Amino acid sequence: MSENTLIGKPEIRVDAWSKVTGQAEYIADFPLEDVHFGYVLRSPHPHASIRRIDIAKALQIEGVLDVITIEDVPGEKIVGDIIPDRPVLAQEKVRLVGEPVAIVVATSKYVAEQGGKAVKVDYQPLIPVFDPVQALEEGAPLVHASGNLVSHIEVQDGDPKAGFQEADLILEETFYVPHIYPGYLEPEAAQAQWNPDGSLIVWVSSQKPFHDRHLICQVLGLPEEKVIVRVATVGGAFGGKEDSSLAILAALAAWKTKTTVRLVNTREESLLAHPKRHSGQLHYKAGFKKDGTLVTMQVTSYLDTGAYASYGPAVGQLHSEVVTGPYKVPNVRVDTYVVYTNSPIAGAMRGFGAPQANFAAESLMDIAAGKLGIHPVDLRRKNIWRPGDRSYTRVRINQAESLQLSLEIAEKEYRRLKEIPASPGKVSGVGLSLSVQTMGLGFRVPDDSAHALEWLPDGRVRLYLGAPELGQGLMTVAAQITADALGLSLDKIEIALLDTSQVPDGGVSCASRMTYSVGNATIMASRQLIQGLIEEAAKLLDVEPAALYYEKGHVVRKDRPDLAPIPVSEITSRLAENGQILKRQAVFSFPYGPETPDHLPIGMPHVLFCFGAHVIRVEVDPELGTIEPKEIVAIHDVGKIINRSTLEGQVEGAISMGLGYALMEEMKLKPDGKWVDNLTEYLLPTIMDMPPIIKTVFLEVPEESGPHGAKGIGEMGLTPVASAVANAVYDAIGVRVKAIPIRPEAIIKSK
Amino acid sequence: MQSFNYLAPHSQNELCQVLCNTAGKIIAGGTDMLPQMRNLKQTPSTLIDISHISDLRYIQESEDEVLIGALTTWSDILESPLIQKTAPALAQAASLVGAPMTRNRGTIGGNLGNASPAADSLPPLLTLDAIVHLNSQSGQRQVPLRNFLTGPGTTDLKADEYIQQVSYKKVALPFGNVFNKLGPRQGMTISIASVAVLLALDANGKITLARIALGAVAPTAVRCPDAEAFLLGKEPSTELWQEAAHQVRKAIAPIDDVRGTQEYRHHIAGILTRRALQTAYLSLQE
Ligand SMILES: Cc1cc2nc3c(=O)[nH]c(=O)nc-3n(C[C@H](O)[C@H](O)[C@H](O)COP(=O)(O)OP(=O)(O)OC[C@H]3O[C@@H](n4cnc5c(N)ncnc54)[C@H](O)[C@@H]3O)c2cc1C
Repeated sequence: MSENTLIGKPEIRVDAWSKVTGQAEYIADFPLEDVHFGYVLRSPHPHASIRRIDIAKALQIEGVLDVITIEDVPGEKIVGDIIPDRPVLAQEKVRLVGEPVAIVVATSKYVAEQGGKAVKVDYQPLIPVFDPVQALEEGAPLVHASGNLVSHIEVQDGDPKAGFQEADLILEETFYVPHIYPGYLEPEAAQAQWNPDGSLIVWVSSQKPFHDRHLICQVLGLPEEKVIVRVATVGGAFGGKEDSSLAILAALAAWKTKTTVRLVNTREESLLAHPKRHSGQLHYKAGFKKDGTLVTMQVTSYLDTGAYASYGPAVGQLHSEVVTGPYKVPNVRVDTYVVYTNSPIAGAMRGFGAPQANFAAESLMDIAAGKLGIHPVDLRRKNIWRPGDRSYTRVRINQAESLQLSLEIAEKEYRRLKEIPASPGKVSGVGLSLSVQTMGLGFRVPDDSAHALEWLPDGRVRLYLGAPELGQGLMTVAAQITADALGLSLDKIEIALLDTSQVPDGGVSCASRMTYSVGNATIMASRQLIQGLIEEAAKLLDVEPAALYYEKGHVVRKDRPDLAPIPVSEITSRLAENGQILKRQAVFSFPYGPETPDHLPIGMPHVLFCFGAHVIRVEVDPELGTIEPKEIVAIHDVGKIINRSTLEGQVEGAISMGLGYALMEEMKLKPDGKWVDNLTEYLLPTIMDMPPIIKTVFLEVPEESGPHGAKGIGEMGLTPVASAVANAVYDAIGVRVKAIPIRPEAIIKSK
Repeated sequence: MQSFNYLAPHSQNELCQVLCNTAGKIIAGGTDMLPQMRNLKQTPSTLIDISHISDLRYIQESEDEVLIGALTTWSDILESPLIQKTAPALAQAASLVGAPMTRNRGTIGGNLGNASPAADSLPPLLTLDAIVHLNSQSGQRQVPLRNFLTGPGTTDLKADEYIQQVSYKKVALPFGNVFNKLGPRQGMTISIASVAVLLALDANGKITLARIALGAVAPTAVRCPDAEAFLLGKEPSTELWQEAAHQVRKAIAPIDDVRGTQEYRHHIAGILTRRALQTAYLSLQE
């Protein structure tokens, strides 16, 4: 690596300028001619059968082009991300408030909405069920005819029963976690244009354009070459935009009306109808020896996936792989039930089942520490994974040493924060938690990521990024890694529009794997591009390729050191004149090696882990029950820092999300039977709710399969926050909260 | 989305005429109106935009009074030295309303007109015995704020009237005037409960003036006459504040909502009162 490497530099984001000047094109204000507007008529009921949908009146309204129902779907009427269980538009019954029932397409938003009001749907309300445990009971209302159990995931290692006989302390606790909203600034949006040749262009705000295309083709019965998906600027995603519903509806509406149709969700629709984080009940039973050794653990989780499975089964799997936290437990039994209810759909969201487990496991460690009379740090030190250890999924732990390092730093920070006196009238408390987050999609799930590079005639390089930038900084780190690999400056890299007909399939932007996968693929593509350049240059110069080498945007002749290095543009422009394009594509396949344990179902196990620790100081007002985060230290092993600014941005943003999870966010069902559906009642933390001090500490223990040694960070910053807060609250006032968000009422009541 | 007529009078005269001839709904900063129109709680046939009437935005004083024009924004209020001196609790409340954007648009007239039980101007203004000045084609009318508020979201405003200004008599210095608010988060937050107190002492340290008003714990923002009467003539002490807080808890009638339970509101109303009294008392010691 040259000394003026771009790796690690806090380069300004390549999309910063267009975003802060308002030039970035989001779907809601995308310049497009002759756009029609769709209004999605949604179910007001959590559970009802549909007796009749009468669209006649709506069709008479001037300006209404069409009203589309499930009858109009030409292809698959029921699709899904993992399980095909979700009708494109309601079919015979509705299973959640906000479920799409019909699309009214009109010349303006206003007329479309009028049309929506004129559609008469005759509903027969059914008894709903909102609790995943109740939903599994005999006689519970059936959300789907097939039953309410979506999946039951079992993992076992050792002999948990025997483990309890060895234990000196057995703890049993139940933890509750809420449904929460990804809360991106830009609500879901999609637009589609029908072309006279029967093809469609669909613009999406999505994490997975290729999968969107696949589902659109399924629903419309079209071959993939007839559908182009383009990703517009995405205003945040956090897993919530792994849902294709709106893209499918826009495509269907454009196809049916043979026009261009735009759908933009309101905040209410976004809150009600698009996937959330799974709420659930987590029952933990754990056995410790007197000296703190964790000998056995039995975890039964009920995760509420709402009315449709979405990514629920996969979330349940990842959850099942991290329930113990980053500890060596010889005897483990996990049963995770992913359950249908009439709640809002839960699917992918930053952390993907890990934050729920972390809240429980890391609270439990502190409870155990208290009971055993061992310091929480010491109890963790005793049990953390060490190099060479295997998880209960039998996966060998990568970079286990970073757990030890994280814990050491966390301990120092813990002691420092303990010394800080509380403000008058407040009580100070410090909490610590460790965390583990996996990377990648899991064994035997296609986990490839393809990207391409083209050397342009002017010497610049176009990066065909096959997976979307969501606001996390992917384009910037991808450009940095590419520029570094080619020895070019960052401004020499341009990024192509993500269009499924132009770029290779980079997979879904998710699972803390983008810097890792994209970085690896672009480094591979860069090498191939240089090789291609040398071959083409050799032909043009009529020399052997071995006579040439590449350096920083130039081809150098070994045989003629007297000649000046040739700028790449001289070669690529000559190629262009001959109609030749210098382009290389590389695929990075997530490394599930031959040693990957194969005793678990498809999608399990995950083989790469990220580790970290959070320490937080809070101040509790013992009379009001309020909790104020004062300082948080986030320690993360990232393998290698690629861009410090975007990295800090990821962690700080994740902390604010974690604090929302810990202290205020919840999709609540109000006494009047309505969900909170606006941001006045569903509270997200504001900047005033952030601790005045956030300290990020990054460890760089290289992951040998990573680009420059880098691992993921997208989700990791969120996972340990809620448990650290709960542990800090306990430290402050001795109240152990087992349910989040932690409400002041609960603090007062338990005192 | 809804359709409506839109009128934008440019003077108070024009406004009087418009209100006399049209059944319309006033909009000032729109920070309450627009959300309410969006969720169809308001469906006005005519929207009367008063934001162009420039002479409704002022903070003035006479010898014994302070007058605040209806279109005065929260930002105006919190930055005004006159308000900071004569109504520190109101300045404090202004600084805690919403976020900077809300404070730049939201007006005091709108806060009174919307009459939410949780409106943050109300407890401070109630401790100042504020008067609401109403105007219409048929003349002016002055109503004490506590009579102006008739229920959650309802006021004594007649269909042809508008709020012109709100005024209060200056209280002789020194006095302590404190606002305390607790919401479910730190920024941009609607009160779960709020309290304002006004306190003055005589040379012997006995309480000569005690006014307590609370928000978000009853159908309207309320004064607590029993607690106030109880305090008069007594010497400040922790126990005294505790007892006053107890009286306050008896005077309120909170409800459950997404922001907080009835029980919690009851609990914190007393604590916020006690603390506000103590802070007001300490401010007098400075
Ligand atoms: C994000 C956000 C945060 C907020 N935070 C707070 C907060 O912390 N505390 C708080 O108290 N409020 C808060 N509010 C509510 C609102 O901002 C205030 O009540 C504000 O003072 C309303 O003023 P406005 O000029 O915007 O009123 P508008 O919305 O224009 O009008 C409100 C009502 O008053 C009537 N009205 C307005 N002016 C007059 C007049 N001159 N004569 C007669 N009737 C009139 C209108 O007809 C309407 O009924 C918040 C609102 C938002 C959107």
